[in-house]
Amino acid sequence: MGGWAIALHGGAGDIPLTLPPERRAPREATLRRCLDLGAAALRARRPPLDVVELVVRELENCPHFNAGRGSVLTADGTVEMEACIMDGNTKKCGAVSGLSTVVNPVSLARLVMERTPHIYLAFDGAEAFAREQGVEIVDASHFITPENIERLKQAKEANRVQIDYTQPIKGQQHQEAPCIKGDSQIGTVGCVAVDGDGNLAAATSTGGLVNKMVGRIGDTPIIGAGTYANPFCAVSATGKGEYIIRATVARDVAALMEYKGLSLKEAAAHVIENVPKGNVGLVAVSSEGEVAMLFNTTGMFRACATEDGYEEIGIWPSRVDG
Amino acid sequence: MEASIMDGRGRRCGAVSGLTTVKNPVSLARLVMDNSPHSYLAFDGAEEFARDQGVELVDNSYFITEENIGMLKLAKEANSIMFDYRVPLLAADTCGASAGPMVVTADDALQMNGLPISIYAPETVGCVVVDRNGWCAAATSTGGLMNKMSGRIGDSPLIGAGTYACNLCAVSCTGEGEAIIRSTLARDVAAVMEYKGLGLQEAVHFVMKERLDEGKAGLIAVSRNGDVAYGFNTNGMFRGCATEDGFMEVGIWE
Repeated sequence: MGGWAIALHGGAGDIPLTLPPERRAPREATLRRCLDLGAAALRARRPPLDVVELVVRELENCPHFNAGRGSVLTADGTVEMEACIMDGNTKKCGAVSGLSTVVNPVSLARLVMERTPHIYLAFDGAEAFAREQGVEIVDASHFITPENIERLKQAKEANRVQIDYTQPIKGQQHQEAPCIKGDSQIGTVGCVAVDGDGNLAAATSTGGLVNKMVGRIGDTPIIGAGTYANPFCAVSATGKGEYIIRATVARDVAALMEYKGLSLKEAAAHVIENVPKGNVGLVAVSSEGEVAMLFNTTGMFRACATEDGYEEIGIWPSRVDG
Repeated sequence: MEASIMDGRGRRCGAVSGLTTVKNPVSLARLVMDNSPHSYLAFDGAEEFARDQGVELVDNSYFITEENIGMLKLAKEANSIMFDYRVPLLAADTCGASAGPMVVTADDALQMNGLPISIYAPETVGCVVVDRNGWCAAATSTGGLMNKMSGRIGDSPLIGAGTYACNLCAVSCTGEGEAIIRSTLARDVAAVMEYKGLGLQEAVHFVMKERLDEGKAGLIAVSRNGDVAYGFNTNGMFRGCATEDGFMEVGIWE
C-alpha cells in the first residue's frame, strides 16, 4: 500500500481565467483549509469515511461553494440540496436529495447509511428523518446568499433572452454574466480519501444547478454517477449532472480498473475523454494511494495531498502553487 | 412510485420518483428525458411536471388495492419491510417451493441496520428490447417496498442500478434495491461486456455471482445481437421473452 492520500474538489466548469482575486482568494483559502483538515485527520489515523465527511461538511459550511450554505437556487428561488457518501470496503452507502433545512447534507447521508434499512431518502421523507435523528436544522433562508439570488435572476434573464433573442441584453448584465456564470453555476463539492491500509471512501454534496426545475435530482446522490467507492478506488465527480449520470462516471473509473486492469490515472483519463468536452471533472484516489484530478472543463477547484508530502491546489490546468 | 427509461442510442435517460397521482410513471420518465433539461425529477417537482405535460392523473386511491392495505398492516405488525404480497406473510416456514416472502424477525440474522427485512421476489416491472438494427432500450417501474420509509428511493429510477442501456445491451433489474444500488448491477452487465469482453449470458452470470453481495435480485437483458438473458438468485422471477426467430418463453421459477 502506498500510504494515505486525499483529494477534494469545489466544482468543475467554465471558470474564467479572469476570475477576480476577491472571488479566487476565499475559494483557494477554503481549499487549503479543507486539505489541511483532511490530511491532519488521516495522519491522526481517522477512518477515511470520517475524513471525507469531515471535509465535505467544512466545504458545505463555506458559502463560496455550491453546497450547504451557498447552494444555488431552483427556479422557484428555493434550495434543494443533495449529498452522498460511500465506504469502499463494504460498499455501504447513503444518499439524500431535496433537503432545504439540513445544515450538513453529507452527514444526513451518512445517517441514512448507518441507521436506516435504505440507501437513499429524499424530500419530505428525508427532512422528517433529519428531524428524527436530531441533526442541525436551520431555516431555509440560512442557505440563500444574496449572490445566489442575483445568480438566479441572471439565469432567468438569460433564459428569457435565449427564447426571445430580439430582446437586447442590458449592458451591465452582459459584462457581469461571464464572471457570475463561471464561478457559480458550478461548485459542487466532494472529497475522496484512502488510508495507509488501503481503506477508501468518497463523499459529494451539492446545491445542483442554478434555475433548476423544482424536484430535479442530479448526479451527486446517485451511486455510480457522482459518487462511488469500492476496494479499488474512490471517486467524486462534478459538472453537468445529466452527462455524468448517463456515463456512470464514478463507477466507470472503478470498472475500468476492475475489469480492464487500468491504473487509476488511465481509468480516470479514459472516462473524462469519453464525456463531451466542457462538462465533467473528477477527483479519485486508489487503494495504492495514487491520486487523479482530471477535468475537461476550463477549470476545477481542487486540492490533494499524499503521505509522501506531495501537495497541490489548483483551479485551471496548471498548478496554482505547491 | 418511481420509474426510469433509457435509450441505448446516445444513452439518453429519464427518471422519476415519489409520484402519487401519475397513472403511468414510465411515461413521465420518458417525458423528463424528452421534454425537460434534466434526467431525473422527484416528488412535488415531478408531480408538477406531470401536470404541465398533461399526462393522465388519477386520485391516489386508484393505485391502492385492498390486498395492499392488508399487507401493509401485516408488515407493520411484523415491523418488517417487505416486498412481496402474494403469499401470506406469516407462512414463513420451510416451504421451499413457494415464491412467497420470508418474514425476518428481529432475532434472525438477516437484518439491515437492526431492522428486519424480507428479501424475496418483488413485483417491480421492467422491459428491455432490441430492434433489428441493434438499438437497445430499457425501462423499469416500481411501487418500491412495502412499509418503506417515506421518501425512500430504490434502484428502479437510478441509471446504472435498476436500469441501463447503451450500444451493447439493455438491462432491467428487480429485487432488493439497496443491494442493486451498491453493485450498480445494470451498468455492470454492460461494463463487463464493454471492458472484459464477455457475452451477454456470461455477463449476466458474472454479475449475479460476483457483484451482488448477500442481496437478492434478478435481472433481464438483451444484447445488440438479439440475445436474451436473465438471471436471479431468488427462487423465482416473473418473466417472459420473445425473439424474432419465434422463440417465446414465460416463466416464474428456474
